Amino acid sequence: MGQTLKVLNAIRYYEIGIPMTYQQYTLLSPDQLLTRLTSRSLHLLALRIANYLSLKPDPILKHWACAKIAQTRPGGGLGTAGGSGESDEAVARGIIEKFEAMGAGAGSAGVSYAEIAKKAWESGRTGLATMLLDHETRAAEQVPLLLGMREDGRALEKAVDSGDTDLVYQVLLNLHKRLPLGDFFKLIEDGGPKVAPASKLLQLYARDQNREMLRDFFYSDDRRVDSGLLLLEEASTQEDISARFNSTKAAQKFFSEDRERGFEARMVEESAKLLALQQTLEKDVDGKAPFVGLSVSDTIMLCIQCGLSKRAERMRGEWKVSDRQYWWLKLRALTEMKAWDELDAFSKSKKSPIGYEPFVRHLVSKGYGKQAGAYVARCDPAKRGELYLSCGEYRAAGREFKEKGDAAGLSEAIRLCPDNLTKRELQGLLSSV
Amino acid sequence: MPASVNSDDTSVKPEESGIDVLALKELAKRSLLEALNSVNGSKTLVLDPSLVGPLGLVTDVAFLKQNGLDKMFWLESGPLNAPTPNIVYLCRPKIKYAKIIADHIRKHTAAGDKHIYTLILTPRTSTLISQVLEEEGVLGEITILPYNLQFIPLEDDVISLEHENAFKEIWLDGDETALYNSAQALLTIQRLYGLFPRILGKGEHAERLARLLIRLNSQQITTPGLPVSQGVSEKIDSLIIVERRADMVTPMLTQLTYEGLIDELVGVSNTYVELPANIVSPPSQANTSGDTTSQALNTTPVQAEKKKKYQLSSATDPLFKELRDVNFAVLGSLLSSTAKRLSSDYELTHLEDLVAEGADRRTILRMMVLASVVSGGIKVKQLESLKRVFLQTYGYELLPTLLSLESLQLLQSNPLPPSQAHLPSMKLPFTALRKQLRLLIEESEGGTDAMPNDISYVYSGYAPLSIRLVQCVAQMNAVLASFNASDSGKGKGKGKDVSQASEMPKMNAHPIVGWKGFEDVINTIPGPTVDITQTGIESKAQGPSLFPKEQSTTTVVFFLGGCTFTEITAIRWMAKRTRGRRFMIATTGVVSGNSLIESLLPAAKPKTAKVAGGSS
Repeated sequence: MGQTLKVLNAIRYYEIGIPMTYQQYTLLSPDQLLTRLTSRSLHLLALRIANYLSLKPDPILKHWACAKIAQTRPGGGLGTAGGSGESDEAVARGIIEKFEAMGAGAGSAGVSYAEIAKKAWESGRTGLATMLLDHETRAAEQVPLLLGMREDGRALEKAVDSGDTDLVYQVLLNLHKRLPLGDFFKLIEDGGPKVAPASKLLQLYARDQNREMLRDFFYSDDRRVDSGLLLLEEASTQEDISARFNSTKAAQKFFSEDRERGFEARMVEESAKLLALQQTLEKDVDGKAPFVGLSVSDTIMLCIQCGLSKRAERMRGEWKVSDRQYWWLKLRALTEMKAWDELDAFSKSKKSPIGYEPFVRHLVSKGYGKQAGAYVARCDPAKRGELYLSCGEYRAAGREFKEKGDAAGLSEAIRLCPDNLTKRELQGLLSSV
Repeated sequence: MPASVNSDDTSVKPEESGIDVLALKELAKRSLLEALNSVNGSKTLVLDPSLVGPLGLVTDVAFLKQNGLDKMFWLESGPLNAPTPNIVYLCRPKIKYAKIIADHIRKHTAAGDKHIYTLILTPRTSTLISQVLEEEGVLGEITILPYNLQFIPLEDDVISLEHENAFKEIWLDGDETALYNSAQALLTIQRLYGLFPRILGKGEHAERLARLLIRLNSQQITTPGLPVSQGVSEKIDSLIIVERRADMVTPMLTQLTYEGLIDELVGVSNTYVELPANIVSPPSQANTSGDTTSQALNTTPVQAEKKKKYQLSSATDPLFKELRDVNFAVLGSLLSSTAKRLSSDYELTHLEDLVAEGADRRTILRMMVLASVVSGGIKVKQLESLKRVFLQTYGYELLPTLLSLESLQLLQSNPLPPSQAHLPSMKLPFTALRKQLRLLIEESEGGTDAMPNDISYVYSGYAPLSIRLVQCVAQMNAVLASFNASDSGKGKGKGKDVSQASEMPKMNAHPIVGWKGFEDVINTIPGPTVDITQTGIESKAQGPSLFPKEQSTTTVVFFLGGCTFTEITAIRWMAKRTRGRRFMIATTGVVSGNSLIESLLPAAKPKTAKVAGGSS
């Protein structure tokens, strides 16, 4: 009650002149009273009352700041009070100091610098608006205004700074709509590392939605590797073989223009060559086997399986497939075909560059333990026992272990052996070790 | 929830633990309900397949049915015949989904089929999606709402954003959405438990996350109506941010713990494994109430193959809790010793043989990355020959993958080509770190697999770098020396009983003092070092380090870009050895070497010709 009287007294004072009754005041509410005071530009009084009643000063400060901006318009009304023509710096400083003193603005209450900056911009004071905006900490508030002000570069930077990828997209999509493509790209390129994240997001968007734009973007930025990769990606989805071939060739050109990408250029060239070869191969087998899309190794293996051994040999030379690689491919292909005689002949064609252990292990891994056993004799004597075991050849394993006096090996063989007759034999061997 | 918590002191009762994961689950469930209830009447839900797993962890079909759900479909291309007027789409903000939705709407309109469309995007609405819907001409037809799905509890001590591919998105694509979402989720933790008194981390993105978290926190005060906690947390003593990029050695190694091995061999997604139906006997546990969770959200009309989902969780399988952290090195140490040996030329020749054998391409790529990261790059000639053999064997279409690995600096030549030499290097000083942080431990020194006295037990002799970093902050002594296991030498048998671990000595938790004592080592790792103390607005006179010794605090370890099951195991081991400190593991998702590599491979083509046991 006493508080209310004090407030009423203050506004009835003759310089203010609002003769309000208690009832009117309670009906109106203190907030409304403050609104009336601010619209009469009685900001100081309003602030004091707000402070006295512990009400938020934010709306008053906002109103005050807007009034100040309007009042101090440069070149506005000569000689009017409030120091017209005050510089942007001075006004900005005034507002910021006041806000900070009142504990408002960023950091605690609801006044946003962005709102006031918007007012400044609307009254044509872009410089002032920019200064005020700098004090806005919430990028989501800052960015739309900056875009409205056509401060595109700064809008992009602030959006990136915020870490909010959605905000970055807002800016990118806005700019893409509004600016000519060249200017749009230039803005991003000129932004340098600061806006690199935006550049990345643009690429992701364009990859899905606008590949034409992405191609232009890479091209305008001389990004040959990316241009090449984009073409390769397209090639991989093309059903038409000649289109795929052409895209691959075009990609190769991009890679070869970069001096450090010789390896990539070579690989892409090889892949085009492979594609052409695979088409021929499909014709050779009357389309009965699908070559297109296979890797070099798989192509060689399929050649072997289709009985095109000469082709396989020739590919081995053309693609510089090492001896070890080739032996492995042939081993895998012949195993797949269960061509045991051929495999045997191949293994004896010359001394295996990979040894014979891979023969055993590969055959065992494919479930052909019986066939694998035949190659154990050509393996390292120290390993033979264990290899025979893996083939399920318990007797042979037992012999090997006995020869070396390996009791542990024999016990293992006994443990694993499924049939009792052999088991007894092995036990006999063990007792003699 | 876990009915089978035994009384040994290693297990933490939920009510005592620093962070109550059930509260987070409730939060996720409630906000889903709010989003769904904004649509009146019975509705057809069209669900992003990648959300099925995560949502299954917070709710179940019965609950959704109670809330007006009539039918459920996958969100995928093709026609949609919805029985209800209301169609609710629930998905992550991906362009491909927006296109499918637009397609549905256009087809319905053309057929004169009237529906009311709602799109719920998680974790928040997206300008990009609105734009795409506008370009497709259907934005006016659809109401868009957010569903703020954040941390999802996987276990009592593990919470995850279940954001697949965060690693690839952040480090390869440069899309930091996952980082922003992580900051928002950590903000929620702060809102519930108070500010993290100290934030520690290593690496460029760890720093960015820490700064973002602080900035977002200062800004939310200006948003009225939100409960804001500005005091420093009393339950949580710190947040340690480990960015995946800072340690790429660990995920490339084969995991040897039970849960890790399952992930290596079959793959675990959202705590579920998918196995051929004939392998899995029906889970015949007496879990009558937990029944709904194990068949959560499985009633979608589309069932591709005869596979059965089985949940790996201590809640549904009591045995699992005992097994999940055991090292199964007896199965062969596979890649685990590669880090020791790979630098030599011999090993690279061996790698070429593995390629020739047609080993899994992911295994080969993991080994190539290991060789490059551990030895600071591979000699130019060797690298080219290796890459050539790789491409010839697995297909030239993997060339982009090799370039991706190169741009991630995970597969580099030594010396670097001139144009890359000036780039900020992320090269790990592995040889030095190996000594200073004791990354490789002789087996005798690290205890046995069954009786471990150092975290290196999880990889049979390799201590994950990521976890050593956490130890530098939260278990300093363990970095310097193994726990003394003198009194336990007798139990050298091959016992698999991990409860023995509880007999191991425990150490009192020391106060969190940042990187103190390890500054020099930490600074040799590329990227900024983060150490920020938050005081909060009403900071009390006592600093965070003066908490009474009796009261346990929780250290939150956040993995930006994902963690492996084995890393989770290692942190659990730390928790078992510490008195007075608990650990809450938070992550963008659970990853493995294969899943990381997979995210860099080209998207699978619909038709693939398989030949001669070909390359898979």
